[in-house]
Amino acid sequence: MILQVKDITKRFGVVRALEGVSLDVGRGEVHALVGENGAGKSTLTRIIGGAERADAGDISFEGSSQALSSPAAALAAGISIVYQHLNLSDELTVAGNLYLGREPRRALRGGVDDKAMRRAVTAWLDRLGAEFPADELVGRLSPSDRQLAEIARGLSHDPKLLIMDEPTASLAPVAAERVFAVLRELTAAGLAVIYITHELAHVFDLADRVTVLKDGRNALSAPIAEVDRGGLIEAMVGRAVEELFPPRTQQPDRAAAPALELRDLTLPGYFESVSFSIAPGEVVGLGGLVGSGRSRVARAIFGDPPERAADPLRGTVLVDGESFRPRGPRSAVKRGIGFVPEDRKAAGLVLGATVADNIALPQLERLASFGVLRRGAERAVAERETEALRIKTPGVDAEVGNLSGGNQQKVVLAKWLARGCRVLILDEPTPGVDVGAKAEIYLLVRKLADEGTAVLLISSDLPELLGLSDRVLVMSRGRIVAELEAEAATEESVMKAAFDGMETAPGLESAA
Amino acid sequence: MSAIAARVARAPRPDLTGAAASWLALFTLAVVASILSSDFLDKQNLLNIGRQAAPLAVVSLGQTIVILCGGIDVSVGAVMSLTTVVVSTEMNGDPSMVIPAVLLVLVLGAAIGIVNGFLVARVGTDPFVTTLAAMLIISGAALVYTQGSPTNGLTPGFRQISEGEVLGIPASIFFAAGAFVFCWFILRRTVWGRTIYALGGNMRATFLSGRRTALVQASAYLAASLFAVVAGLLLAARIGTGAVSAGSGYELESIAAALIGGTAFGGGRGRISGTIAGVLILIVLFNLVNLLGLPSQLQQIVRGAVIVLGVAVYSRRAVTGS
Repeated sequence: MILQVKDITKRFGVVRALEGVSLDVGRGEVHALVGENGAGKSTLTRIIGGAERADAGDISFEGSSQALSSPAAALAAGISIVYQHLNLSDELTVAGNLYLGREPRRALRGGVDDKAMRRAVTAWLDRLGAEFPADELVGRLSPSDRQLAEIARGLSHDPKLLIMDEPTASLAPVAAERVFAVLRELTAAGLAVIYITHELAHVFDLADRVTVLKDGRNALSAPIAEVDRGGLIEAMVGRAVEELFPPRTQQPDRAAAPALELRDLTLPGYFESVSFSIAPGEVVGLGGLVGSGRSRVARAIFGDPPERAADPLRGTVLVDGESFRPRGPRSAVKRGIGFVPEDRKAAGLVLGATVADNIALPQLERLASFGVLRRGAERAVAERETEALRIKTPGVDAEVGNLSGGNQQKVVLAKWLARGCRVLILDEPTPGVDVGAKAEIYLLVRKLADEGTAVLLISSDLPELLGLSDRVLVMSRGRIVAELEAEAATEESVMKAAFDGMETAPGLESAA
Repeated sequence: MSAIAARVARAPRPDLTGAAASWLALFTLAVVASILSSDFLDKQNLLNIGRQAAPLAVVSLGQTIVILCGGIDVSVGAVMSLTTVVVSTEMNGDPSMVIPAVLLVLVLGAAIGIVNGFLVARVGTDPFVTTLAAMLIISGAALVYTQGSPTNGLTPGFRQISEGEVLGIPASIFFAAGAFVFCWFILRRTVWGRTIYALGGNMRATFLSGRRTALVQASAYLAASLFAVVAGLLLAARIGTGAVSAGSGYELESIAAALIGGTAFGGGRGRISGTIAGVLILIVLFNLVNLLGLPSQLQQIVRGAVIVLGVAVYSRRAVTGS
């Protein structure tokens, strides 16, 4: 065993974050660590990484308990952590970030040896299949590439134990595959990995053992061959989740006038001739690789064009059969379109504001008379929605930033449910959301559709895309390259269409 | 989940602690002041503090609005100076010109605020640089307008807005109180105020919720300018003259008052009751320097020290609170 964690307990004030947790990781082993948000995974990794001290219990790395006294000591001993929340500086190059604070020096004058640094970083980037150079500014990378750079940084320390916290949350599926391949090579050579994720598929793909934490305690620890998906979910949530995806109770009426229709929508440089329609009550999934233009289409419908778009949007958008010019989010909201953006912290929520304030934001006018807010109405709406969505919060006056990821995401949904909309656009609705909250979000989306809302779902999570959609469109290089009925669509067929599109479509070079 | 519940339960409204802490600091300071100087609690001295605080309070309310939505306005001091010279020149001792002169400076202030707001919200220029440039232009214009000499055209009637007393209390305090109530109402009870807070917290999320972000952001600068004009009128009435440098220093003091009062630099959090406490802390400190017979230059050092202290306390609070 390279790492032995035995019976550790950690309290924050009166709150027990960890209670007698044990975890053993052997050389060359990938140990998956799973559990709902707040189960104690992050606290455990902070203790292993030397950033926190356990109140009780033993922990040893390579037989020594001294290694973990501080983050620097842990790093020196060979423990490297790849964080979920990106820790790179935008203003530095990829190479500068990776070697920040330990830049190789030139022999004579002691200056930074840029060449050596670039060479070392390029080697890691090539190995991970990165398509950006070592001297690119991090601020100019896509979220997926930034994540890749973060992983490269973790590996560049040449660790004996690598801890990865949701490393693939913003990684494109192809890039994730490549990272897994590199991890397999390295573990074959003896690297130990603690892999934290909500993606159960990755657990079965990659891990040798799995440990489940629930409410700060060990709920399960077993070789991967001895558990199945259902068992994992049950251990995590403490109850059996029969069906993550709710069944379709009603078939959408496709003969009816579409709630949303796009005709030859084109934004030069981003996407071209995108046409499709969504019937009331229908969930249409938009699949494809990151950068294929999916999010751009969604944002264009909502009137949120990229800053650098030189040419105006061309083509037609119709909402309930009436032509609609997406001039800005305000006009889109008025026309009954709701939008759950990709990054809830950056674009979905005002984190420092209360749950009630956030829920009220898209419909302040309705809750006001002559510009003066009716506080009772505002509270009532917030209370109704937090109850209906089962948002776990001490009250509607609690700050949204203090809620867990899953509950924050429910607040973003509540904003639009409270307002009510004809068309709801969901751009990656569940990244970093635990399995219990995921199931509830899926149930909500299905319920909304059953009540007649047209839903456009963008997701890189293929089971989610297939499980929730009535119909799946696949985009590649700014064009729609395939349309698949839910029954016919499989993960393979979606990925195949996406990759075939890369090769055959005459499309756009960069549609990020 | 329980960790979160426990944390939130302990501090249900974290931003209230900011304003409350400032009032506590003010109270402590007043106790210390009354021990150091027996004149401090003298009725005349307290009324004097109120008279001095009124213009700063009004301009700081406007400044707080801008800071709440994530900006800053360093041109408010120049707007106050401009107000004093224009209003006294145009009034020129003629009581019938009081109202036209006041309307004129309000229009001027509105124009300045609209230009600032347009540049920041629509063109996207940096608020600090934009309003710094505006400050230079306004100061220059005031110099050209007066040829540099003080103007003495204020009528005795106009001066009553500061020097007059109602029930023994200076009239300017009533104006400041009115400005406070108005400001409290629009920030806390209206769609506009809610949007100001949301903007400062997360501009993009606010925009994607269908709010008119650019318009509301621009209007914050308009509000700051108009509050500065009212502050300038109170200041002119108090000092009895129009001078091109009358308002200089108020830009920094108004920012200091907002920050000491617990408003977050960067926006989204803060209460104007805290700003009032911040204003009073500054004025009491200046008053104390005078009462103790210390050199008046010391006021500058006190001013700087208080700003640093206020900001340090605020960031300490932010660190421990998260």
